[in-house]
Amino acid sequence: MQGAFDMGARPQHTKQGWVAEFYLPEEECDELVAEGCEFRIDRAYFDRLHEEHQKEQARRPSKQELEALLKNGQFPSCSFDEKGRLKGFE
Amino acid sequence: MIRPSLPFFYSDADDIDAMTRSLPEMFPNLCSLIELPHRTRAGRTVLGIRLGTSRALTTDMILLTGNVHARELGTAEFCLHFANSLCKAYTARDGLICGAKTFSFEQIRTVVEELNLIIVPCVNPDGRDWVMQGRSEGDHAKMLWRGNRQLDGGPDCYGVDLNRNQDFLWDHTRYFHDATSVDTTHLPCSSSQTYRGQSPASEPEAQNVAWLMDHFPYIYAYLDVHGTYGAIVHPWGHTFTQTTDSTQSFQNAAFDSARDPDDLSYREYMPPEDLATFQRLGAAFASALGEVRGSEYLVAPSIELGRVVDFPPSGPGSVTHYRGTTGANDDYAYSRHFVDSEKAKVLAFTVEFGRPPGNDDVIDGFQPETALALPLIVQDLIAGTLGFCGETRASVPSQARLLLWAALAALAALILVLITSC
Repeated sequence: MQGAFDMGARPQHTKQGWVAEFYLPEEECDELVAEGCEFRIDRAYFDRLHEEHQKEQARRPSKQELEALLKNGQFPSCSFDEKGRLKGFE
Repeated sequence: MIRPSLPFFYSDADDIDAMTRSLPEMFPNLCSLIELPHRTRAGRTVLGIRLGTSRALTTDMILLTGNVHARELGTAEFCLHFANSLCKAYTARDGLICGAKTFSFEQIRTVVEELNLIIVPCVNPDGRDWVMQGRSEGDHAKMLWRGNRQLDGGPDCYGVDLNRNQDFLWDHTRYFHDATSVDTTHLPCSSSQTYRGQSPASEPEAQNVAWLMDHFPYIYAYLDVHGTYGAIVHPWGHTFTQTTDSTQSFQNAAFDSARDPDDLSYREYMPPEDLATFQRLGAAFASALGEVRGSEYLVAPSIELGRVVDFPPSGPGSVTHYRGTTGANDDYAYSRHFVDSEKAKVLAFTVEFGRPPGNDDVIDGFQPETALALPLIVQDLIAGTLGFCGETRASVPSQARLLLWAALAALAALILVLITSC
C-alpha cells in the first residue's frame, strides 16, 4: 500500500467514522487500516492533477509575459463570451 | 456592462505579489499598497491593497483575506480578480455582469465610494510556494500542504495551521472537555495538519491578520476565503450558539474543561441581533452567488462544518457528532470586541470555496481545474462578495457612527458626573 489519499471537498466518512481529507503518511495509513478503517484511495486523482498541471504550465504566461501585461495596465485574465465559452488572454 | 476578469492558471507567490503591486499602478486613484509588518519565516513581506475612493481612516472597511491555507490556491486568484474587476467597472463607470447576475454602476459605486476594502490575496506566501513547487514536481504531500513553513517538529512536520493559531480558545486542552472535541492539535507533526503553533498568534502570518484589525479599527466585516465546502459560515466554530444566556461565554473560566460541542448544556452566547445580522449577510452572499449560475452555498455557523457521522461497529445506525475549531480567524475577529470593549465588532465569516453544482469530482476540490472550474468559481465568489458588501451598507450600522455615538455617550456621562459633583 503506497498511502491513502482523499481529496473529497466534503469530508469523506468511512463506515468507521474516520474523516480523511488529507494526505496520510504510509505507515500511519497502514496502522489505521489495521484497525479496520477504510479509506477512499484515489491516486488516480493525483495523476490527473499532475497532468492538468502540465497543461496549465503551457497556458501560464512566462515571467516576461506577465511583466509586460502588468506594465501595459492589463491583468492576465480570461472571461466568458456571449455564449458562455471561455476566452483566453484579454 | 463589464465582465469580470477571471483566472485560468495558478500563479506562484512572486506573481501574486506582482499582480498585487500592479493594482495601485493601474488604478492609482482607487488602490494603495499595504505592506504588512510581520515578515514570514522565509523573509517575505506579505502584501495587500486598500481599495476605495475615500482615504479617511474612519471609512467603514471590509477585510478580505485569501490563501491562509497553502493548498487552497484559487482563493488568492479570487481576491486579485475581484479587486481588478471592481476597479475596471468603476473606472468605466459601468455595471458588472457575472453570468446571470448583474450589478449596476450604482451598486459598484456604493462599494467603491462608501467603503474601503482591505484585500490581502495571499496571507501565506511561503506555504503557497511549497504547494506550487509540489504541483511542478508532482509531489502529493507538497500539493496538499495546509500550514505555513514553520517546522516546529522538524522537516517532516506540517507547519502551523494559521487558522488554528489566533488568540481565541487557543489552548484547546485547557478549554475543552476532551482534546478530540476540536479539530486542533498541539502536536507539530500530526498528519491532521491542524497544529496550533507554540503560542497564541506565534506566527507572523497570524500576527499580520490581527495587525490589520488593529491598524484599521473601522473594519466591520471580514471574509476569510478558504476551500472547499461550498459555504459561507460565521461564528461560532468551537461549539453551538445560543442567544439567551450570556454567562455561557468563552471568557467564563467556570466552563473550562467542560466545553464540548456534543454536550449542548454549554453553547456559546451571541447577542440575538448579531446572529440575525450574520444570517442576513450570509444569505445576501449566497443569494447573489446563486444568481450567477445556480450554485448553492450553505449559510450556517462554522460548527456545522465539523459534523462527523460515525457508524459504530456494534449497534444499529449511525451517530452524528461534532468537532469544533479553535484559534480560527473568524471566531478570533468576532471575539475581539467581547475581550476588549474598545475594539470594534467585526462581523467575520469564512467563505468555503465551492464547486460546480452537482459535480463531486475530486478535481474541483482544493485546486479546481484551471481550464474551466476555477474561473466559474471565482465568478461566483465575485458576485457573492459584491452582494455581501452591498448588504453591509444596507443593514449594518456604520462603524464610524457607532464609535461617534459611544464617544458622545461617554462625553454626556462625564458632563453628568461633573454637574452632580458640583
